[in-house]
Formats: sequence, C-alpha cells, structure tokens
Amino acid sequence: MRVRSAVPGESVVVEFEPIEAAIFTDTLGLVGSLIDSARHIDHLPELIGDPALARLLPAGYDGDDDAADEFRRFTRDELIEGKLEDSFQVLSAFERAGAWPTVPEDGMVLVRIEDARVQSWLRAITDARLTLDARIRQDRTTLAASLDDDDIEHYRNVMEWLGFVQESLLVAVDPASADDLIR
Amino acid sequence: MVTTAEETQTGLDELTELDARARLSAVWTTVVWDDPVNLMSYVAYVFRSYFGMSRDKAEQLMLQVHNNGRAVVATGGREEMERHVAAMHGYGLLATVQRADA
Repeated sequence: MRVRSAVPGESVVVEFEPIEAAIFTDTLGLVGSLIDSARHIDHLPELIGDPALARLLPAGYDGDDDAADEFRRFTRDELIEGKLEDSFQVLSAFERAGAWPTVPEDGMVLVRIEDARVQSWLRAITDARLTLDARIRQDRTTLAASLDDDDIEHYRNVMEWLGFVQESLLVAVDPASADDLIR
Repeated sequence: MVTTAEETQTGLDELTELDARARLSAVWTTVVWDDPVNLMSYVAYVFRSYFGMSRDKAEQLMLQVHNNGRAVVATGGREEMERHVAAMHGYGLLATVQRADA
C-alpha cells in the first residue's frame, strides 16, 4: 500500500496490491459481521463473553455496573450503526475502484478517499486492529476451532500492516501528524 | 425547639431541591484510558479533530494517556460527558464518564 497522491482537504488516492486489497476488504467484512452480531445482544455478560466485542463496545462507566448498563442501552445502537457505516463507506470506495466484492487478479487497485470519508477509514481500521488484537490475545481454547497458529500469526501481521496503512493515511491528510509518529 | 410537620416538610423539600441542584451542577469528566492498540498519532488526531484541540494540547493529553494510563480530556455536565464518551467509543478509544470529585 502506498499513498499515490494527497490533496489535504480534498482527497487521497491510495494504491493497493491486489492481495492487499483482498486482505483489507476481507478483514473489514469479518469485523462488520462481528459488529452486526452485537445488535442482538442485550446482556452485558454475553458481550463480555467475546473479548473483541467487549473492546469494540466498551463500558462507559468504570466501577459502576448500573450506570454502565444504562449507558450501553442508550448508546449501543448508534455506536453499532456508526461502526457499520464506517465499514460500508470503506468497502464502497473499494467497490468504486472495482475491487469489491471481488478483487481483480492483477493490476494495482487505486482507491480514492474523499476528505469527508477519511475519518470513516481511520475508524474502520481502528475497529479492525482492535478486533485482531483481541483475537491474538484471546485464550486459544476459546477461539473458533477452525483457527490455528498460522491464522493468529496472520492476524498479527495484518494488525501491524493496518497500523502502517492508518499512519500513512493520517500523514497524508494531516502532514503535521508525522510529528506524533513513534520514531 | 418544636417544629411543626409543615416546617419539617418545607425543610426536607429544600434539602431535596439542594440535592437535585447539586447533582445537576455536579462536575463530570471524560477520561480516556491507555490501550495497547491505538497508535499515538491516531489518539492525538482524534483529540484534535473531535475536541478541536490545538496540536500542542492534543499531544500533551495523548502523552498523558500514554504515560499515566489515563487523562481527563473534558469537564462539564454529565450528559455532555456521556456524548463525548460515546464519540470516543466511536473512534475506538477507551473512555469513561467519571465524577470530577471521584
């Protein structure tokens, strides 16, 4: 992935290898399904049962379960809708680039991100990184049986790569962000 | 001293009202907590773009989160703080509403 061109305040054009585009959109699709599944969870313990969901939809009060429950009841739907909308915006940009739902076999994928959509990208990437991190840290016995060590290693690599994508975007839209990068 | 039931009731009403007013005007805060995933550059970006903080202020609070594990990023009424916390969750940051004196 690399930023091809950036006009702060207007748009950023990002170039992905086909395999990168596939990994990116697959990951967002999986995270979207996970978030979507939380719509039907009314009880805190069920949510906490999945560390990724618990992290994506965290408690709004520390040490006050009643206030946290009430806060969750009032904010959860909007939070879920917002996250799904972010993910949808990103996938739509890939669709316009002809790379979603199917990524072309060869040729670079050029995705244009309008300035107004950049936040959706940054947030969707964050949700994906939080989800992958939760899975990496999760007790292996509680992971889906289909996941093996190679998958977890893959998650680790994707999470790091998504961090690189996020910072590349940040610097593209806000060049002074480069000062905040860890050197 | 003898007080009538009516006087006692008036006193209680006043107390209740005082209590309610104290609760309404209580100062609440938005606390952002450190987490091992979010990048420092992203956290500073969120503070700038959501709260409209200056670059210096955003960086200072981001470093506070990073070094102290938490930072108060806003202070005000409870409802306003709940809106901020919900927005922080939208950005994927860990945040909670907390009474300023807690």
